[in-house]
Amino acid sequence: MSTWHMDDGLAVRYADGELNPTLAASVEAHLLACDQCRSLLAPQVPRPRLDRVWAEVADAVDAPVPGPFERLLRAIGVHEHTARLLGAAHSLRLPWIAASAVALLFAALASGEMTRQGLLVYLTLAPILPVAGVAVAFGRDGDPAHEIGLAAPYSMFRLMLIRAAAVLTSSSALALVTGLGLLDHDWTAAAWLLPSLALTSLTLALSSRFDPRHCGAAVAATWLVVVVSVNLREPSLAMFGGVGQAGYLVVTFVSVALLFFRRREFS
Amino acid sequence: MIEAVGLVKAYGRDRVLDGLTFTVGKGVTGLLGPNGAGKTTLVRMLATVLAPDGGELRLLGRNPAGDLLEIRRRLGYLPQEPGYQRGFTVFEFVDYVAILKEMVERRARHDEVRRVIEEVGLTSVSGKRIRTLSGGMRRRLGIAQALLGDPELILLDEPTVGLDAEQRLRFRELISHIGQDRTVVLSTHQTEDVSALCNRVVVLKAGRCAFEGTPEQLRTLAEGRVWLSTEKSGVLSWRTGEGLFRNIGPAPEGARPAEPTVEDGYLLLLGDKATAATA
Amino acid sequence: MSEHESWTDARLLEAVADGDRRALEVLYARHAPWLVIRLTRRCADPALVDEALQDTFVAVWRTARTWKGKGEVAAWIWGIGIRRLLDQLRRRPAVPLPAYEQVMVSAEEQVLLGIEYGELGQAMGRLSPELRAVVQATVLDGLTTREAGRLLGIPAGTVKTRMMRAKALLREELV
Repeated sequence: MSTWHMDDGLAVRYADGELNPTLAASVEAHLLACDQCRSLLAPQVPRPRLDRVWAEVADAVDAPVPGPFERLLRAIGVHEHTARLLGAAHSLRLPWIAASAVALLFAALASGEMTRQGLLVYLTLAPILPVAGVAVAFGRDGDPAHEIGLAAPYSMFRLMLIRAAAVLTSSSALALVTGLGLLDHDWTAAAWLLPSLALTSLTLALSSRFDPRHCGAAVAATWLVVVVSVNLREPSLAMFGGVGQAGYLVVTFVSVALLFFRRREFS
Repeated sequence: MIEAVGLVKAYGRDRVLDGLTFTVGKGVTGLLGPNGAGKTTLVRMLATVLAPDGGELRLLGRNPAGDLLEIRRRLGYLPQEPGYQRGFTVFEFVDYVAILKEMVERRARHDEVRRVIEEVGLTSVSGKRIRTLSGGMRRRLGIAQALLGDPELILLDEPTVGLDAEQRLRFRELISHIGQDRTVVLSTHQTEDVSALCNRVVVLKAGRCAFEGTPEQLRTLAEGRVWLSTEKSGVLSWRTGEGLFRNIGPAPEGARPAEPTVEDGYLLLLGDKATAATA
Repeated sequence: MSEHESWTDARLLEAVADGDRRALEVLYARHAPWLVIRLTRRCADPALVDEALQDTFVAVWRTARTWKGKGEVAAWIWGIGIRRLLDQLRRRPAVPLPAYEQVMVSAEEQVLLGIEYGELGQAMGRLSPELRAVVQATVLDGLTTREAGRLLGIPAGTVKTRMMRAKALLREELV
């Protein structure tokens, strides 16, 4: 736009704020269009200051944007790194969560008439979902970078528990919402909670020895067989009554204890 | 850095590693061997993913059976087929692995993630999803995660497979840069990688160590045993671009001697096996 | 290391719009220094300027797509920068803006200014500091009346009346 350019002396005086406003204004207008003069100013700002701000910019730009699930975890006080792992596990499992939502919805709709069978279907299905999720969450299927994780110092046992927790909470929340939304029942809407814990922890405990997918399938199949054979003649909710619930609690405790003693098997 | 004595790994009756003994020091060491020689099994064992059935292994001066965590903290590992969460961005993936490497403090971790991404030249794409990356970029991403925490020992399993000539060149630059002050072990079945990159080479054959030394020593194995002739002769013989046959072994009639390459030395080692198998 | 250093600003900004992190780094290296200096002339608090600088380049990263591809990239960045500074000022209690309070023009500077701005520059020099600040904020910094008011710590209405007076005076000087 012009043949006029700043020299070093003028650049220094402008940078130091020593130019009068009118001259400064003309310098500024010129700077917008002249990269040559802009570069004269680069030495006038301390390098560490620019680097410090750049580090902030870079981090704001790079840092993964946490999803709603991860933000929720942070809000309830989960460590940032743990929330990240959970969030990652969660995002990997999104298709599974969507599928189980649909399955639960159908089950709940089926029980909409409040028949015993309908409710039974719902209570049977709800505990299996986290088992399936946990089984899928391990090995190559659940984590494409599994092999890299194996050689990392992070405890695989801990990672497995974190993922199981993620799967369990999201599927439980899902089951609870469908249960409360579609079945206006008192305790029955949550009667699957302990069975679900029992089946999931049993799956995890067995996984210390066998392929998690096989464990999940075996546990789910056994559960189905038991439910069907108990209710074959006359459908009842007896399995979800007080004694039954106590039984699930025992299974849960035993499985967790087993899991704890065999935790070294995971690394 | 690595001392292995009589390593054994068996799957059923198949002994993949059959009394393997070797040592690895600073610099870049190539694990050379044909497919099925047990390279991946060995690298996984060095990465503490797999425990040996027999023999003794010391990594970084420690026993993996006892000091597993201590070794893993000082180790970087690129598996043969590293899986990636394809929906993650480059940064997100490396950050994820960094958490698994116990980097807890967010800001320090992010700075380290940026550093390794810069080191492999992926800064431009650090915000891109992994599914949009080329094969060569993914390979570099795999190396980036192996560099996290500046490990003393870096294990790369077949890192050059599937790279084109230009990517291979960039890769070699990167590895020789990394290998300057660290111990790098890379498995490969390409002698070009070994001659271009490694200051040491261990040749694996049927689960045993067939050779251990410098690439130059591997090359001199074939000294005086490579011949050019107009007729095909022996087991190891192939036609070269100039229409002559290159033979390794005893001199055929009317042949003239040729300068051996690392590949000749390697083929000679493997050839013994081929002859033994056919005999 | 990369070829980005040889790219034009426009090309870099297009690359940034496409998610190229390296391009952002190069843009920052080119534009952060002058932006810091110019923002410092509007606000003397270095902490606020640094915040504004950081916000500016984060905004460049996020909004690079909205650049129309016309005009100077530097001007576009300035437009973001001055507004981010305003955002910072809004969050803090009003601070005096020394940059707009000085007067005095040396003869030598007048010559330089003449080259650049001619009679307009001289006419500007004769305005009172208050009027000149308004002209500078609206004409040179490209702010709206409201934004200029916020920057200068005066109501928007005052900016308007001062601008009208400045225009009248400049017209007298130039015609």
